[in-house]
Amino acid sequence: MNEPLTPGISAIQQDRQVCLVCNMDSSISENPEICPCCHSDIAPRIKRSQQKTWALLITAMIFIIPANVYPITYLLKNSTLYPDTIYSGLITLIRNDQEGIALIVFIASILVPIFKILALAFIALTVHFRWQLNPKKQFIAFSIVEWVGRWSILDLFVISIMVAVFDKGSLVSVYPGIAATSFTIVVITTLFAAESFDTRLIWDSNNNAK
Amino acid sequence: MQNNPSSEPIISKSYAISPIWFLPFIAAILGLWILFQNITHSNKEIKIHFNHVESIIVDKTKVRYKGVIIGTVKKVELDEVDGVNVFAEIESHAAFLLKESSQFWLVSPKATLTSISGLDTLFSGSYISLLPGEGEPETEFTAMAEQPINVPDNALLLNFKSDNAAANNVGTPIFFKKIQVGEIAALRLDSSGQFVNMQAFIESKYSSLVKQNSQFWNISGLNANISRAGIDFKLDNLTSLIAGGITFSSPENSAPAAKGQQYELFDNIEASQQGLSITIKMNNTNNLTNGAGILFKGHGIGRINTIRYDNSSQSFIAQATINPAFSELVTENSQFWLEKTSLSFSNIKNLGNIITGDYVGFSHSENYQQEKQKKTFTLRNHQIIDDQYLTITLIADDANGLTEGATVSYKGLTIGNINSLALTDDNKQIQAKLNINSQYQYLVNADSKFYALSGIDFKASLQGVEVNSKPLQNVIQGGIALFNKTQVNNPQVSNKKQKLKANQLFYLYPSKEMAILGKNIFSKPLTVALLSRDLPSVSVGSPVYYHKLKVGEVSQLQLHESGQMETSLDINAQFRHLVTDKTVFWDVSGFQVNAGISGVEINADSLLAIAAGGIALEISTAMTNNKINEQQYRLFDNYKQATLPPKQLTLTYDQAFDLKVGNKVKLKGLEIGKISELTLTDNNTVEATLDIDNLYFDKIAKQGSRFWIVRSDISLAGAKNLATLVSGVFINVSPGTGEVKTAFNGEHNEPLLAPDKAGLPIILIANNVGSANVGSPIYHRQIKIGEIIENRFNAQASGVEIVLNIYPEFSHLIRKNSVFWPASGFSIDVGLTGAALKATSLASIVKGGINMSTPDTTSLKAASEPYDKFTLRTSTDKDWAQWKLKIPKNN
Repeated sequence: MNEPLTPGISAIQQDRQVCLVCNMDSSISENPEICPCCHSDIAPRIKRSQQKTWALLITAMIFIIPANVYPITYLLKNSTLYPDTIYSGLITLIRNDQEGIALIVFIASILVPIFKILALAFIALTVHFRWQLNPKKQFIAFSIVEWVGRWSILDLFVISIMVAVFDKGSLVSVYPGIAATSFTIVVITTLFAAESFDTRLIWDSNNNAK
Repeated sequence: MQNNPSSEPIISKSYAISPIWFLPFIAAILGLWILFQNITHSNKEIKIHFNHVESIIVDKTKVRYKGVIIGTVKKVELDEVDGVNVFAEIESHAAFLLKESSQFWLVSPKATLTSISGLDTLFSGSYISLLPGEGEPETEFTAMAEQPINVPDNALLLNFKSDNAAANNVGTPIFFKKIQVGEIAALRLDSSGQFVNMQAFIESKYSSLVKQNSQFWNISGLNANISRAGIDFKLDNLTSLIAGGITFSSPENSAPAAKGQQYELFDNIEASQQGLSITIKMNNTNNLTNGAGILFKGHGIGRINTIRYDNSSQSFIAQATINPAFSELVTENSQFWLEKTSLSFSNIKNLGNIITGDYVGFSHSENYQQEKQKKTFTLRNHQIIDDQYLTITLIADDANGLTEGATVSYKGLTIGNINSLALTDDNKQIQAKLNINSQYQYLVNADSKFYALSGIDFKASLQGVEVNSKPLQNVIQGGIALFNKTQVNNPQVSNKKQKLKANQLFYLYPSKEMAILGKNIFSKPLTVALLSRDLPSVSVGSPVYYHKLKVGEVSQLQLHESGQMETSLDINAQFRHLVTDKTVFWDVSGFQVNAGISGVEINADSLLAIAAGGIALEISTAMTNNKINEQQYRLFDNYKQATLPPKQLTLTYDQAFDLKVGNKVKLKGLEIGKISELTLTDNNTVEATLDIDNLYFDKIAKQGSRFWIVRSDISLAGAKNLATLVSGVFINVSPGTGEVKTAFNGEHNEPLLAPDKAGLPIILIANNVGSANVGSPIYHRQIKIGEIIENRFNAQASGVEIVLNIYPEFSHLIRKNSVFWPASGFSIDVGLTGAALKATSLASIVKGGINMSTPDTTSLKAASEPYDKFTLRTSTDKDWAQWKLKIPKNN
């Protein structure tokens, strides 16, 4: 048990596993299902990690389409409803010479979700098809995706604040559109997708791993 | 758990597929559904061509149908040829609206007099509206310049034809009974350019109101109808006031209108009625205007439409329309004449014409049923009255109070009128022609008399004033009344004219009295001379009145032999009987002002008398010295003098004091006369001559009457007669009972003793008067039982005698042994213990007085005799006030 692990070889090959709850490592053969320390369910790899990731990713991929095509907000001004998609909002910002904000919105609302999905999908594909890429670089990319992903929730914050603030009946009101819901689903599914992806698979799939 | 290493590991079947796949599965279904929606409900892009657009914003401007947003403008680009192409995306569910004949127009805020539309677009911006049409689906359209009239479903479409559009416009409402039932939808000139064609619709629920025979005419909101009866403003609803409107008739017994039926639109309701068109010729237009009314017995039956000058006949031709309801009255013998405004003091006629213009009067002939209709007439200046009247000629001195058209009445009932007034052939008299209505002709016979109705009978006398007024019409217009001495029975109509000789002349008497007398009024006037000291303020020609009726005039003013002024009067012959032995004459010139503290009284005769002066006469009931010689009368200053001249008596005073001529003489407060003269006699006394009213003279011109001057008296004891400060002093009279006497000695002060207060006189002896002033009271037990009436010296002036008057009811209280002492206001006892101040009543403090008491220590003594003398004690004994002697009254 106290025998140190040999670097360069995966823990499975050394009959070791780590409990994700208490971070205690144990022998796979000795404790195939239960963590000897905290008695949580234990497995050398997260079960069906790839499947979960793919399912959530596909969901995100589906929903990112309406999130961009349909209006994300409805502005009710003087009894007239003005729908705004993410894209049209972006254009409006650029027209109004607010490129800075436009850039933020573009990154947070369009670039990041798409990049996230693409990056996750790419990593998942790499694992699935055992493409021999540098696992370290893949891991860095995954870390960035995980870190940056939470910021795409920013858009939804803005919308929810606007809905709350601009509530003056038929004079000026803002309502969230279908895209807002879709976008929320996209953000959540991508977060969960990143969460459920077991990064150790990157090394498992890499034959070059030492 | 895994203690048994030898045991086989439990192979549990792991699920190949994670349940998480459920999520993308649902997402996929949702996505597919959205995709399906998108494909099936794809927006349709259309192109609308505008001539020009205002405030269209890409992605903002909407396309609406019935207020629902059905699309959005996506692109605006200039057309290569002209105008602007607007590309809009119409939502799929509204695609069915896009047909060949669909109409698009831009809605922007628009304010007109009748409507404000598109107000919402002020805030929301303009939008494109559309009216769906029919035909094949289409994607390219040309926009309308304006909003097409929205003809409601199933509305009844009508066509109007009119000379001009008048105030009508697209949207002009059509009213029925002031309810809007439709509006004009389109307006355009017809091909010839002479008429205006209008398209209108009537809402379906009202379409049954429009009949085949309906007439349509324009209404302007304000309709002022000015007539003699007043001004009648008719205000239709406000919309029509501003924008005009159309209304129509709905004859009940007519079939409903067909769709798209053609109607003529008339300018007004009059024009719409298919009246009888007639022509009236006239020499000049007489100020008649287009639209002048034609009135039958005051009721408008038609209207002059146009007046034009006809060269060939050198006259004006008026085209008129007669209301069809009256068209049968217009026959060969109908008359049309001009009714003009006639304005005079006595007669105001057709005053309304000043505003409305003159109008044409109309009368039909009696037998219009049998006569043929005629359409050309000549306008007359007057109505020609046919012979249903009896015409009588009257001869009058003057035409005063007579006007043409004034009524002739019998017992107040109008039986005819004055037809004409003219001078007689010799220019000396007035000849009046009367028309007597046929049904009253029997009233006029050879003995009938006519007299002028003066507006107001005025009778004034001392008893009051009686005013008898005829109807106002007579006051203004004057008039003639018929008077029959004998009872006239209603004879058969056939007999009536035989009673009158042909060309019989009647005379017009100035009054009913004259008519009764029936004297010949055309004889010479009676001349009367009046003598007076001064000339009355009259001039030659000034009127002479009898009960305000002018009966003559002043003919001459001259100096009489006697030195008096002579005024000669000519009394008209018909009033000759008024001058008798009892006639009195007086001056009614000017006016009298009687101003006093109680008010101002102005007596004026007629304005004419104020201005020109005048003489009045009256037959006096009381015989006065009115006459000097035969035909020479005295002229009095006023009526009162003439009829009831005041009688005079004289008062002698040592001094005139405040007396002035004009000071009043009063009896028990009632004014009965005044001082007419103050003279200094030879023996240096002042003699005042009083004019005493006739009625009261006998009462006061008697022995024992006393006259004294009443003037204001202000003293510590009180103020009296303050009114005389303003109005001047007056002379009060206390009437006596003795023989007739006309000369009296006047007294300066009120007699001290009223007759009912004169009682027992007694005399007090004292060293000096002290506070015993004349008028000071005598008290017994603080009750006033008498007063001091005189203070005088005794024979040697060694003392004074104070004369008291004890009121009769208290005279028995004075006994032979009664004690008198001064009721000084207060007494002061000064002693070691201090000073005591005693006061009796406040009045005695001020007025002083004398106390009296009778000792109860001795038995009752005899009552005092008149003029008994008592000593006025100087010091007072306290016991005196305690005496309680019982004094029986009848002793």
